[in-house]
Amino acid sequence: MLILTRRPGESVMVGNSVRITVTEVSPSAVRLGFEAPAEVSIYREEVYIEIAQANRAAAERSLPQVVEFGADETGGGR
Amino acid sequence: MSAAPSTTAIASAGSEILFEEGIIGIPRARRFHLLERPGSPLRLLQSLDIAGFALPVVDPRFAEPDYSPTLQSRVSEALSLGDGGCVLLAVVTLGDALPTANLRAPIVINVDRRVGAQVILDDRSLPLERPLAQRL
Repeated sequence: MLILTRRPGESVMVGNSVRITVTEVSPSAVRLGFEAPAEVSIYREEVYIEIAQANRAAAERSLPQVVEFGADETGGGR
Repeated sequence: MSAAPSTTAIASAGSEILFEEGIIGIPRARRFHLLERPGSPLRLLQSLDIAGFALPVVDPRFAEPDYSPTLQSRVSEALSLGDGGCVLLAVVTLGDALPTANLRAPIVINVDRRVGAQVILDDRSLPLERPLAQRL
């Protein structure tokens, strides 16, 4: 993990299109501001993980439907 | 669940839908066919990149008739929704009990441009597992 030290008001560039700014620091939390193109999605990590797990569970249980739809491994229906 | 092995899968419009950022947690799954079949509102978002990976999806209004979430403007912009029809689909988890729909993170598809994304909505009260009122 790359560790950088920033003071409030200072920023980090991620690639050419994403800027993260530390807007406020308190003893229990840091406020971060994000500037990124519309195509780049930004989520709190715990929410992201929760949705990723839900997706995996849905995919794991989809096999009966894959059979019902006749969807074979080459990606098309019969 | 019906037992109809001869059911024919019909790909919507026949061509693939591109998810530039993939599915949340599975970034490699970017190209999909959306399969439907007669007699069921359940559709299948089938990955063309990962063999065997598919997500059952359904119109979210089967779970919540008044479902009309507000999409962030950046989402509309990324999918160019201003000039195309937009379809919302909820990922369905099947199991022994009634199927459940994820209303918190819908699939959003620009039908005209055949691009899509999975969006995590800001509203934390939206459930990840809303039981559907019926078997599909």
